[in-house]
Amino acid sequence: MSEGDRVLVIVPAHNEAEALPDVLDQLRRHAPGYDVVVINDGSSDGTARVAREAGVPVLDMCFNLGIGGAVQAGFKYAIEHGYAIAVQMDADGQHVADQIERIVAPVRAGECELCIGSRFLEETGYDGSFWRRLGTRYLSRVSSIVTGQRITDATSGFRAVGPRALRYLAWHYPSDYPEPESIVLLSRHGLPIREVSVRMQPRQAGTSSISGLATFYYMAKVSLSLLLAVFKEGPTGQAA
Amino acid sequence: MGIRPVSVFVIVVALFIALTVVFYVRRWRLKEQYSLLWLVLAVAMVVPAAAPDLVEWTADRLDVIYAPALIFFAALAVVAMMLFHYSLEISRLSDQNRELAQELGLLRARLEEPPPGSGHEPRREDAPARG
Repeated sequence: MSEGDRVLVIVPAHNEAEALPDVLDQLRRHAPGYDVVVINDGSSDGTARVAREAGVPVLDMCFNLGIGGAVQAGFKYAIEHGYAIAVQMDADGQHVADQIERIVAPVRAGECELCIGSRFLEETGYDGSFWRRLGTRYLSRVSSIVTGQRITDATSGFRAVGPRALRYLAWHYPSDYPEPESIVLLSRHGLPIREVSVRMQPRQAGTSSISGLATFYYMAKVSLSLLLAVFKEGPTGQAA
Repeated sequence: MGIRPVSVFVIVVALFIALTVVFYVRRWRLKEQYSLLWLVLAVAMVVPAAAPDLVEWTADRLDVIYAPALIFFAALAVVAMMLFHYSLEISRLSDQNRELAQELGLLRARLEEPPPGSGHEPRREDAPARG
């Protein structure tokens, strides 16, 4: 691996003190070749402390920015420290450390700028609740239509980005529920996207950020941003 | 034509708005930029109150049968524009807010990094590709 191919694993964490030590431990054991940064997104528990105790650098957000703002801070950190590839990984134990190489490999090989770890590309035995699955399928469908390529897991927060996508996303990253929208944005700017099948775990602690009635509001909002994303301008003076 | 009570009322309200605006600017709690908006609004209120004929005349020109509807329309249009302006401002502010929080986090993390060559660097870096 050349110097330019260093990979940073970004772990955004909001009140994940319970699950985080195990996640970091798994990373150390099953993905030792990767550097890790934890983004403490305005947690009120010991998230930052447990991360520092594990010897991992921590970016403290002084208030809760939401997943989009937290991950973007990680992208900025990656650029500042000269990383070519960044991986986003949940702090709740849902994403499995030994699967990272699967999503990094296509990016490193230059086959794509965004590689999504998908739960639904093949039968992986993952089952969320009925509504969650339906929501994910719907958003994947919309993403597929807008991008003109098959997307099976648009809401997956387990993904790897290459240098060009990294630059774009550090400049602009959607704030609320950024996963589906970033797919559309990157695709619109000609950055190739791929999905690979990954194994995921049911979450260990905490609850999903989306549930119940909020799901419908989320769907409407994300659908709108997916459609609007088509019209969004790219960074001026920077070819995507 | 004598001045009508309703006109007096509107002029008093407009004066009250103007004084309120000046009060808050004096206390450094309202930016001049926004005070201008409200002062213009206060003046705009006075115009139809002081010159109701003007409203009738304009309505006639525009083929509006019920003249006061013109005032409501103008007022609503201005309010809608102001609200949109504030939505733009809020979007800009929240973007800046987010950037500040991220920048602060990045700077704090840099302070925590051990100086290069101190012997216990967890990562191989300090050749940051800036910009």
